[in-house]
Amino acid sequence: MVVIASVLEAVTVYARGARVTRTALAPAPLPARVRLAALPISLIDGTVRVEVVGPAVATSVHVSIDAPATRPDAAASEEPDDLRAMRRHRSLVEAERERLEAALEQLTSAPLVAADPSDGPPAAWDAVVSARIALTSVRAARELALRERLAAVRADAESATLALELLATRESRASSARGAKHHELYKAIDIELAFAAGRGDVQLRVEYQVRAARWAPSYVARLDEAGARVELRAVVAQRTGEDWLGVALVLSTAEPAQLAELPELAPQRIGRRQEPPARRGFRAAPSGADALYADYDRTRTRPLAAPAPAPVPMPMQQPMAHRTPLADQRWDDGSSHAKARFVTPPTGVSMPQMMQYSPSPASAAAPVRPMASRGHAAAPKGAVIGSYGGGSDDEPDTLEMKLSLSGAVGGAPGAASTTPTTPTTPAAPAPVPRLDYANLRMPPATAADRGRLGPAPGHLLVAAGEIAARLETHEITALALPAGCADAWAHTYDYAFAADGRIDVASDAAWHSLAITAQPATVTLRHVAVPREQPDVFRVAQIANPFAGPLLAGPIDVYDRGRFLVTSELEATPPGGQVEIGLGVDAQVKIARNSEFREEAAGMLRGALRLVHAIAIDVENLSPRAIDLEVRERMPVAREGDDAIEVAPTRVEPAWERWTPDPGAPAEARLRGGYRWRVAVPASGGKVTLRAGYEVKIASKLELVGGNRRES
Amino acid sequence: MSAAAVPVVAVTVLEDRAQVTRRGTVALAAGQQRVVIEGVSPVLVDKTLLCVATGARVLDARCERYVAPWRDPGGASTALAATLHTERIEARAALAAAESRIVAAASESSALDELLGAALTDLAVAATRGVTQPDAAARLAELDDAAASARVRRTEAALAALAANASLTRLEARLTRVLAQAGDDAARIVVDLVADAAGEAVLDCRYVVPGAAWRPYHRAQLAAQTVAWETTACVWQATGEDWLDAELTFSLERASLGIAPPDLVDDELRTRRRPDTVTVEAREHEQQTTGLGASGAREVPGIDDGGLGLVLRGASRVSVHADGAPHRVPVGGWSSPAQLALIAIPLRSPWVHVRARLTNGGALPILAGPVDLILAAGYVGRAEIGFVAPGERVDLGFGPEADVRIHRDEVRTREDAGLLGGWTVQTVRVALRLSNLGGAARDVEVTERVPVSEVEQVEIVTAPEGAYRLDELGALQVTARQIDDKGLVTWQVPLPAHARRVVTLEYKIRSKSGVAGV
Repeated sequence: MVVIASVLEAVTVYARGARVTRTALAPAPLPARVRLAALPISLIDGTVRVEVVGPAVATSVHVSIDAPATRPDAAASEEPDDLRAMRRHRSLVEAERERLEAALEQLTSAPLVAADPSDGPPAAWDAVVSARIALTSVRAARELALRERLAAVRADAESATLALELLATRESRASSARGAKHHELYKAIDIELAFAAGRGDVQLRVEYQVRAARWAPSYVARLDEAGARVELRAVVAQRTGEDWLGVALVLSTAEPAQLAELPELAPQRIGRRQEPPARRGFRAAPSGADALYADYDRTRTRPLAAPAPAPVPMPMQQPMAHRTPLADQRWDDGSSHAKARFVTPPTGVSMPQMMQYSPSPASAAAPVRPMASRGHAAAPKGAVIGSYGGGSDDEPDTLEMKLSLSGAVGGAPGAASTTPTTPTTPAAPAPVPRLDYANLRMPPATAADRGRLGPAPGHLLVAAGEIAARLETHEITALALPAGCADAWAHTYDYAFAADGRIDVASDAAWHSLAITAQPATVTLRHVAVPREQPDVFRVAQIANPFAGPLLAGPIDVYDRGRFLVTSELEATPPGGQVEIGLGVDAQVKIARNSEFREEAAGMLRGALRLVHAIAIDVENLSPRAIDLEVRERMPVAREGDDAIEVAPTRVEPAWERWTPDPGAPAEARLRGGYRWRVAVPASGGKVTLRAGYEVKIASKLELVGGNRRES
Repeated sequence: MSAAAVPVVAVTVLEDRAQVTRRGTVALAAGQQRVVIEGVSPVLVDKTLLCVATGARVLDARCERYVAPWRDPGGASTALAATLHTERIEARAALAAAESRIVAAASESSALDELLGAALTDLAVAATRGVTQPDAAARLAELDDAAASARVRRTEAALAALAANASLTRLEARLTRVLAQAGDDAARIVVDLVADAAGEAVLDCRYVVPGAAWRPYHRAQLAAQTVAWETTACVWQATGEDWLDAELTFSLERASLGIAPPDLVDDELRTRRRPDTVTVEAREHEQQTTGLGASGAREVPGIDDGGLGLVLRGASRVSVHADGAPHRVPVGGWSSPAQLALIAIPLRSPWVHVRARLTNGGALPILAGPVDLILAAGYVGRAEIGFVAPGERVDLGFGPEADVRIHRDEVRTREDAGLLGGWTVQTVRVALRLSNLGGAARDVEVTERVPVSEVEQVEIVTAPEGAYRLDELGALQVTARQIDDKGLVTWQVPLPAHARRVVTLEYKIRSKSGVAGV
């Protein structure tokens, strides 16, 4: 087996998950098996595909999960040296702080005046007084010294804690792609190669899928005099355990394809019941092999060495401050508050947790036991992270195990054991990989499940790896999208967008904004005003979708002649569709609206009232370019079925047209009385005046709710 | 008593056991003597042990089991297990030493704390006696220093113990793995022989061991419209003895099928009133997920050879170590031309599959098992195959085409029959949308189905081609289709690069009132 290096070449990010392509060179002379090691734990086993360029054939692929090589002295290399040194420093400072606090408490509680236990005659009064004065000054000097030292040590402890947190955070933030560390799991792909005729180097292209990746589109439109340029950008986040550096990136709205059995479609018959055809080829597993072990069991010798004693939860966080005689150590809840102060860490991880430690029962002094377990209970749950070898009474919990794997701040060196515990641990029965023969093993005769094929004993690792991958995936799915972005697409057709350049995305579960591609687009600029509501003229750009694919829903940043204008929402637009984007108020076009109103009695016997409204709108274009302006107005409408009100237009100059916003969106409330003018306004001070008027006729004994005057 | 070289020369592997044959030449003196074969599997079944000698007479053959040599502490064994055992003892000692240091330092620091308290009390007592201690501050500082250094020692020891424990944990894990392979026991075969004259005899020992298994494992390589099929036997064994350079034979014979025929029970007939409504069922031939028999899915299924009593022979001598891991031994192969097509069955799978249609070109049937799929020179995945007789046609999926996607929408509307009876009409409209995400043109065969009625109370009316039109921007509708008498509807959809196509199907299920189940 030869381990070969591979380079991450291309990535396709799907709606959920990604497909990664790596290339590797297997140099001549070709080995029969090559291994691509240190691949991310989130790799999905069934999705591996291998392509071979050169005189060889990949005949078999096997994905395995592995903890990195274990050497007895490997503990040294698990953490960076600076982190370890800082941990040690902080432990020492914390120990010193505990000592000083204990000494201070002892000093303040020690008697100044004590009775003389001897039967001798009392000492001279002034000798006693001067001796006690001397003692007081000794005690005062000592207290001052202790307090000064304690203040210094506390400051030191605080800065050490901060420094440790910083180092640990940096360590965990540092991209997980650095390569598997000793406490991390990774996957490896073993490829069997068969040589064809000829000899030479062989290039391998290995593809696999990972789950923890997501993307969402965003757009940028850059408008200028000539037209527009639409850029497709994307936010991409991934926590797949490997950095994508300089990769060819494709973003797809599809779901990733996985190897699936060839589907079969049988006719559907409505009628009598039919027996399904039996699937030939398999039968029940053979039985009876157990009986064959009878001779072996009869004479079988028991193993000499007893299994390793199970660690007993026994944190050595014996409070240092107690003054009870050594022989009389008992935990006494009533008088233990002072001790508890040292046991219960205030916040975060402190010295007692660091020192949480489980000696084997043989060396554990019996009197310490009750105290220790009390102290253990007092520690917060997070303390488990820093302990090892069953510091908790629980069965080794794989989830908790992974939590420690993920490098919590308080993790003690070598705290997390990634290697499977002894097989005596009752593990949750893993499903048998039924036809995954490469992952089946024949257990040895000493095992309980001997004689029949079962999953490879790495299944605990597999479970841990599964949890690790799930946590990574969760990190990505729980990640909130940047404002305005959306990644829920209506699945009718699927599209793929290829990035123009090579792209870098670090495996840090954070959104990275990437430029994918850009296209020039034709843009039509219009001006729109609704003077009734706001005396401003708005610029609107109509951009034709320049891409072969659709524009997906997402935010669009609009730049006008290099100036950032606005971020607006883009709706999903099919290929060939048009997008309308508001560009904000054009200050160079002025609009003014004035209205007149009078009431006239009308009709026979003056029984009716005419409410006459006239509107005049003046537009002035101060910009050096002529504009097309759309002015939107409204006329009141009577409630449907209400005969008491008549509304009729009077004089409209120039003619206007009915206007219904967005006929394609019937769900929106339809405007019934909408009208618009479309006028060209000449450049540099060109003026246009628009006039409209209408009459509302009601019975003279009535009035309109909200006032008879409808225009302000 | 003499140790003889009688190596494993042939093994017949069954589904859950193996028959091992050892053969070797032993030098014999005249008269009765004892020959010992060391390194035999300790799990061998005593009553199956059969020894035959040519040139001598076997009086008795038996298996003796004893403690594996590596477990003897004084045996100076160089086995990995023994080395790791020694390492573990050392690591435990290091851990114990660190623990002792912790306990000692903790006691010391407690004692010093107590001393410090006592010293302060003593000072007060001395003052009561009128005695001034001029060097009190210095002595207290000495005590402080001692207490501080005890605490430093305790901290250092605790850190050391953490590290020692971590390395011990790793060592244990390694040891577990090694011990599983080394086994606790060893065995030897002891043969008592009588030779008429001094000379050489060929000793032949056969025995059955559990802890060995094989399953057929195939490999299909598709290149240039031809599938090269290779069948390998995947062998596992953890019998405690390695099979080195042995001739392997694989059989599906079952020694464990039982010895007595099963019992028969009566089929008692009863009648009941016939119900008034006609109940029909829409049934289909679901693809069976491998009939695994009664043993349930938690077990690796056995393989049925259709009662042919197949015996497969390994192509050459091979070595299989007793590590419990799979070893693949080639046992045969053939090649056959294949027809390739891209097929989509959106009712079953959202993907478009590469299908190769080939016939079993070998002289032997294909046994059920996994198939490694290799396209050109690359591995694409693993599929399953059932029993395929020689000459039988078989469809083999080479996985989904990554660049083509299909989405299926189905809308059912129902108009119930009126009060006076008549027909209940259910209209089914299916829209299939295909997208080509890649830069290469592809032709996809899309298959849907309409139900086929076998009762006169239910009628199926299929709308003509193009009756259900979808006018969608940028997607052409393909209408040309074929319907066969089983109700399977097929479209040939050409998909140019980056193109989208839509295919629709509409049919009505008309059922008379009183028909339940549709």
